[in-house]
Amino acid sequence: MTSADYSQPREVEQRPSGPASLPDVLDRILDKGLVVAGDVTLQLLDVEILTIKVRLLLCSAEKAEEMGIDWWKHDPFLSGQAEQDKKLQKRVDKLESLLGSVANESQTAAGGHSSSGEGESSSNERESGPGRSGG
Amino acid sequence: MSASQAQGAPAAEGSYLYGIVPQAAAVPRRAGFGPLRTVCEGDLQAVVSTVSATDWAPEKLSEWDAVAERAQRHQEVLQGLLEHCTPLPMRLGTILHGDDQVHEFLCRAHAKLAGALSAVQGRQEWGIKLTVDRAGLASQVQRQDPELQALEQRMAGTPEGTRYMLEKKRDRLRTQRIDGEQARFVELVRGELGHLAEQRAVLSARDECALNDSLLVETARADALGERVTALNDSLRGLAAIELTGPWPPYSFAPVIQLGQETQQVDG
Repeated sequence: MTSADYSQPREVEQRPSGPASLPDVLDRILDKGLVVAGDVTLQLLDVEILTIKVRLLLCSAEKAEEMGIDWWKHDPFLSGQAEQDKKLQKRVDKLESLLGSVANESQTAAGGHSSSGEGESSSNERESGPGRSGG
Repeated sequence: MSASQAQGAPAAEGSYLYGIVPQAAAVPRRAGFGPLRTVCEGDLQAVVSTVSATDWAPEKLSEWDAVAERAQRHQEVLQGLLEHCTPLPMRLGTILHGDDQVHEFLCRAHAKLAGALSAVQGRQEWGIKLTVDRAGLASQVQRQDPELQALEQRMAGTPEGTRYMLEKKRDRLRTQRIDGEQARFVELVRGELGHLAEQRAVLSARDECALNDSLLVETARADALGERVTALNDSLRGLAAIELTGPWPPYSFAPVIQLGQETQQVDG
């Protein structure tokens, strides 16, 4: 009992930063934007509100990712690239499913009329279809 | 008045405003960007400290590190206030010309501030994030979905070209099924936790999260929320996990209150 006279500072020193991991903090605090006062001495009430997202991304997107921030990738406004990618992906999907159905048909055609052996010519016909409409 | 003219340019200082607390609330003696003090008006207390304007010049804020460091200090002060009552957080970088301006702001925006402050009193913000184990879900849907199994069977013993197409088809279907399951989890979590909350805010999307929300929850219900999250996590059987963070100052539920501009005719 008497040896416990050096009170450990563990409770006193406890920092009140609570739940805060940096990305969580930034999610909340930067969400509302940052108030940037041009010059407090001259134009005290003329505050400019900048979208922090744009401002900081111009500086470094890599840095943002390093810090665990990636919302800009999901923001259609900030990630024109992602939008582009999505469109391309859609076109690829469409083409693939088209090709898939062609392959399926040629397979069932080959399976169904194995004696005729005309599977190839039917797929040739289909290929000319999109070609015509494209030109 | 002109005491600071020795250097030509006066050292610009401002009053940094972290947030507003009720008049009766205790304010810890803690430093934020400087020692804390309060400016009072009626039933409102503004928590401020003096900052140098040059520290907050726009050029100083164009680096992530600089902004993150400031955000964390802002957070620490508000988190400290939260130990005594729920503060109404101001946005990062809210700086007024001096305490007189802070006082003027309290007067001018009194009704809005008092309303917003009482709306968050006795409540806290809690973060919920949901991460989904997509690989785990993939093997689950592969085991359980009849359509996927049928495709798998068709793939066995088909020639390579066709097989490739079937594989693509299976992958697409599997992704759809995983997305569907994920959406179901999100709905489940929002539904189950939503009724413990008074408001919900959807935060920025994140790669690793299927859901990143904040809830405004009565302080008295915080324990119930924690228990609900534990129970839900058990029921998700490792296929998804909810992470609860908080309590936070109610950042996501504080309205943006304009600092001024309306009353410009304050000539002495």
